[in-house]
Amino acid sequence: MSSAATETRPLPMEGRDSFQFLGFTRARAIFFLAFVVVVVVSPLAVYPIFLMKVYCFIIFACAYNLLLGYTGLMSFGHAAFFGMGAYLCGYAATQWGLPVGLAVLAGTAYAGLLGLVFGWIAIRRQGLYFGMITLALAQMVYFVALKAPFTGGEDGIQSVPRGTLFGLVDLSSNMALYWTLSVILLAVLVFYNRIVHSPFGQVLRAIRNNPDRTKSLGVDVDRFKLLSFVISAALSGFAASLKTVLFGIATLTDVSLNISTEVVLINLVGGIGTIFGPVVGSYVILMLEQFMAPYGPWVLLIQGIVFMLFVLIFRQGIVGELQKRLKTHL
Amino acid sequence: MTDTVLEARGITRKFGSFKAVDGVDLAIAEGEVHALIGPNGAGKTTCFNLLTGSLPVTSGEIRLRGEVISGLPMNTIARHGLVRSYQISSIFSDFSALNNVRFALQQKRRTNFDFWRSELCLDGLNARAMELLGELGLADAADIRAGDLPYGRKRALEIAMTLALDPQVLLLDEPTSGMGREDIGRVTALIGKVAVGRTVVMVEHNLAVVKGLCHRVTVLARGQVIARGTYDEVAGDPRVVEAYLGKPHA
Repeated sequence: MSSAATETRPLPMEGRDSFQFLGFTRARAIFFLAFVVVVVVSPLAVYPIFLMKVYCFIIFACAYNLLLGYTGLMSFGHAAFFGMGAYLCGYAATQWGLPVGLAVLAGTAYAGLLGLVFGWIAIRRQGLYFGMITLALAQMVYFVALKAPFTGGEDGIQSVPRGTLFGLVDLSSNMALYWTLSVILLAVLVFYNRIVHSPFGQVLRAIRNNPDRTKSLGVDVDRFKLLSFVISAALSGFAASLKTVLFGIATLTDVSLNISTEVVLINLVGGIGTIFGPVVGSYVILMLEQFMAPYGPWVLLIQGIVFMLFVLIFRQGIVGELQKRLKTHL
Repeated sequence: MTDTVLEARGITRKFGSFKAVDGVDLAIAEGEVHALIGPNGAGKTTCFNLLTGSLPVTSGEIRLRGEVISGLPMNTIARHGLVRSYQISSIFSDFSALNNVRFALQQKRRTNFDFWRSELCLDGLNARAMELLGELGLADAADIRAGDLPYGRKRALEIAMTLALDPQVLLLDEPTSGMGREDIGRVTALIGKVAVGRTVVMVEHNLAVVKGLCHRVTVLARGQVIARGTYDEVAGDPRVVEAYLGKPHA
């Protein structure tokens, strides 16, 4: 992290341009609008279920990037929040009979609560130790998910109903769900950009850049780290709840270590500390998985190669490289 | 007699059984520029870290305008108006110079938790930030990435950030360490300028700088105060000469 931060960048500093569209700078607004077009057009050409899966992972990756890219905290345990969000959403919808909106909310809130506890423990340490604590906690959560009765163990929670959103939109139709998820995704991107580029986001970026100096300027650094951690966890739970609604299942896969590493990989490929890195990274990684699916475990090999390629050659990720080319921030 | 702003009574810091700072008393008056000097290992920096709350005291008490601040965390002490700068330039290297100062100014406002507003709402601070940059001769560097500034200008930027908090007491940790002669002259002049009307405590190795800037000096050796007074007074003190040069033989 520190070596990436000290690397000299030919990029100009973010300017003092007062142009804003939904809180986006000019370059980001253009990217955003282009992405809106992609979202609208792509179901004509691509299987919408796959696209919706990508959208869920974009939200998850945004949540992770807020923590890694903008607060400088590297968690290896985000599967805990993703998995538990998914389980609780599924449980709330099947066992408590909550309508889909409330079930998603429950999954989000539960992940946020878990984030509060885990974050409170983990922020006591920095760097690698922070990462190891999150990893250990997530592995404990995996064990609980495997053994506890309410997760359904190896079977997971099956046949979660899609229901109707606020009693208005019948989500059982794939296209209705697609447009609902599209609107949610775009709203999340606006929200995520707003957080990052707000006075609060300034504090987070200052912490990432130089935590000691931030503290000496009078900021209660731990409080902001924790807040960032909770937001990230809750948003991860939100993404997982949407995924549960989409596929109708919550399983051990959602809480497994694979999920934690995948979200790191997505951000690494997309561009850590950029607004649109999670978008690009999710498409690339999930497409790779999709195409490699018939070859079974070979996907892991390819992922490993991609991982090394980006760490060694394109450390800024795809969007990071794009920024350099276009001399603007995305 | 002017008021005492910052007062330390018998502050002590132990590392294991070693007393790095041993019962030091300090009284810093309003508006004075005060230096802590002493040979290497005298406990200057530890003493400084105790004053700023970077390290907790083992015993003793520190008061800022009569209020006990020892035992509070560093960020709370900063909020009370006791703000430090660092020996190694501690700036936000990925931010522009302007943004460094602006972030410090943001701390005077209650906007840290505002996540729903655009950071454009901070543009209102630009004027004051530019003023501070101008005061430290950095006006032309406003849009440059802070990490790309030359060393002397990083120090100046660091001081600008510290000033942005409008501190009651400014604590400078070796402001000229590691600098070339030209930069030393420039930074000394800057400190002289910003010290007017402010209370400053500094740790400094360069005695020429101390002589030029400071009203009063406290000399530490082996964790204890061995002399205090004006620069000329302590410079003639045999204990100080001994601490710096060792006992004269025969």
